[in-house]
Amino acid sequence: MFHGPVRRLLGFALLVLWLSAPVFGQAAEDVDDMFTDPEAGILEESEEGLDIDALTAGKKPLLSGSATVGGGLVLGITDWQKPITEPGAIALVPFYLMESVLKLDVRPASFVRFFGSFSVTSPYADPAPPGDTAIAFSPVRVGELFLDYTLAELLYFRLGKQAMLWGQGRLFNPGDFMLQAVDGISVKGFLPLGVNGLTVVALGEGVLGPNPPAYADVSQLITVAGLFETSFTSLAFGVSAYYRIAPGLKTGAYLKTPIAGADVALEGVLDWGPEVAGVDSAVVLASLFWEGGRSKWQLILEYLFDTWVPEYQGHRLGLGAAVRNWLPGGWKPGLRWVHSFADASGQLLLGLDGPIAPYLRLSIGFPFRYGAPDGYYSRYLVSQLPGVEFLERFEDGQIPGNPAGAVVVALTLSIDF
Amino acid sequence: MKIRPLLIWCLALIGSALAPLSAQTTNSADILRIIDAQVSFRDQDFAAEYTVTQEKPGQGSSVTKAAVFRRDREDKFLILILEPPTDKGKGYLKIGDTLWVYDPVSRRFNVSSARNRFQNSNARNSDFTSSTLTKDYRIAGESAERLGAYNTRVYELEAAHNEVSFPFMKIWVDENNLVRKFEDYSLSRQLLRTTAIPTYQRVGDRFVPAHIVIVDALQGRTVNGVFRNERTVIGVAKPTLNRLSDLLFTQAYLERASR
Repeated sequence: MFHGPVRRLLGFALLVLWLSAPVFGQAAEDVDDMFTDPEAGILEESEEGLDIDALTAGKKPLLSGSATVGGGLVLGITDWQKPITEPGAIALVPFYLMESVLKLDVRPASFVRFFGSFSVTSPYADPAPPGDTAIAFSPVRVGELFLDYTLAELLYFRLGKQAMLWGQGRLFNPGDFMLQAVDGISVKGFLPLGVNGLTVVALGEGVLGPNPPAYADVSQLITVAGLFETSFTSLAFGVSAYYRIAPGLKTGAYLKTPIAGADVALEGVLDWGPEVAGVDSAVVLASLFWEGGRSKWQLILEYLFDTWVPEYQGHRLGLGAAVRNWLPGGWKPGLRWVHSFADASGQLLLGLDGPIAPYLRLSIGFPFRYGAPDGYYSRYLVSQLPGVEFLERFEDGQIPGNPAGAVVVALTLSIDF
Repeated sequence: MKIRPLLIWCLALIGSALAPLSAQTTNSADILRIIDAQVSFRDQDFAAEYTVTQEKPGQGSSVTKAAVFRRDREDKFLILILEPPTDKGKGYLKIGDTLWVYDPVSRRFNVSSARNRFQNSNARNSDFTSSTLTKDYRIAGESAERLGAYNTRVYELEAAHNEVSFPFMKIWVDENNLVRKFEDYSLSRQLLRTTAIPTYQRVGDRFVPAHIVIVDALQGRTVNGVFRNERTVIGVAKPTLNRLSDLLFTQAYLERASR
């Protein structure tokens, strides 16, 4: 009845209809029904190809950001040694947080980009009169402010105030030589080399941070660093180096490979600075990270050995777990535990976070710290807890009241745009 | 002296027994090489937009849109997620046997496996690489079968090494040497997935699937008293063979592209 292009068109239309049919009527054996018309089996070449430049360019500047208002209570024990009946042994501390973040992303062409991120938060303690300004807005903070430029589709530069992440650790990260980069001004260059490439950084370290370093000569502020990464079969490896007049030279190397679906890494860092050199200042990290499963599990297991600690006592162990799709209603539990064997101090954080209404989230956290008062992990509670984003908002790990063990309940209203 | 004819006879017997085996091995590799060649771009780069629709019975569907770039001659691919907004900027970079997954939120590259699921769908990361049947499998059985309107040759494949996503496969190949359907099996010969490629599109002198339907044989849900399988539909649009820059197949490109 139908011939040539008409038949082909009809065949293809039937196929599209079949493909767009809801799944509920499908079973595995039905796939054979898709092959009834051989004329629809091969389509001619499409005239429209993917516009690759458009993926990294936009005609209009992109403005995005978030606004968050939250508050809650910390009910905690201030000191494990203190009897619970003693005045001050239990503290109830209310807290609040307001934060607005604005991001501007301008990409007039595929090879050039401007990005800026700005935020205002409260509460803010002014360093000048810290006792007077417990409730105030911070000045506008510049999170990142940089320009990207790609030369001849070969050399890629990022210039300005930028965050960088080196190193393989998630709980401990001794190989992150660029940890302070976001508080400075830097030029990062990347050149494809071999299988992966070479990254070179020149950085004015800490010059935009809260406590800019004192210096006699500008050269004392300049850090240079390099990272070369490549891979062989399924083994990825990299070498890195960092140099600044003080603290001197640091070098690092890592090996990384997937084993049974887990990301397994071994990393070593040596400090060649003037005070301690070579193996006397070595830090070794073994890291395992697994992400997967239908429930979207994230598991982290890390071991760190630090030769700085005398008598080979510098062992630390960390465990992190979070699961995104396990509980109904979008509730996400998380756990983070770090332990130092040198002084038997550690921290355990458990958290649960989920939506209770549109834009409104309830977060419950159980942070605990243990060990001697001057122990490595007993000074303050760190905040990074997989799965509990709200607790990660606290800067410098300062949970109000700095309890030894507590229940934190927080309610946040947050809008992303 | 009498032993010599016997020795020659024995050698001839062994030779005649091994000859078909050798021919079969060569033939097996040749067949798979022809099938691979139809959908591989050894002398050009390839880019296209992929739309991956994951359908879970009783739970609705989710759509992931991604730009896929391939440089088959160097065994590289890069996938940049374009939609949904929550995953935008996430990327996959495969160089040789190493597959990195980029998380733009943490700005971290995790090493992954080609065998892992792509974006929690029924597709595997290996579904986006060039076809490597010659390297990964050998033919263990062959038959002819009618698949709808197609006359197909059906090859039973067994893995040549342990690095493949599935130890056993069965493929239906049409008269143009295009794979129209395949079934993936576990080590215990349990059917895991059925994949249909009802439409190909011509790109240069090669072919790219236009639509791929993956039906998960194990995952699904009983709806109205009937078990319904999960399935993933992949649409491939805007294919191009224009040369891609070397920078595109690097971690730096994913960092640059993410928003």
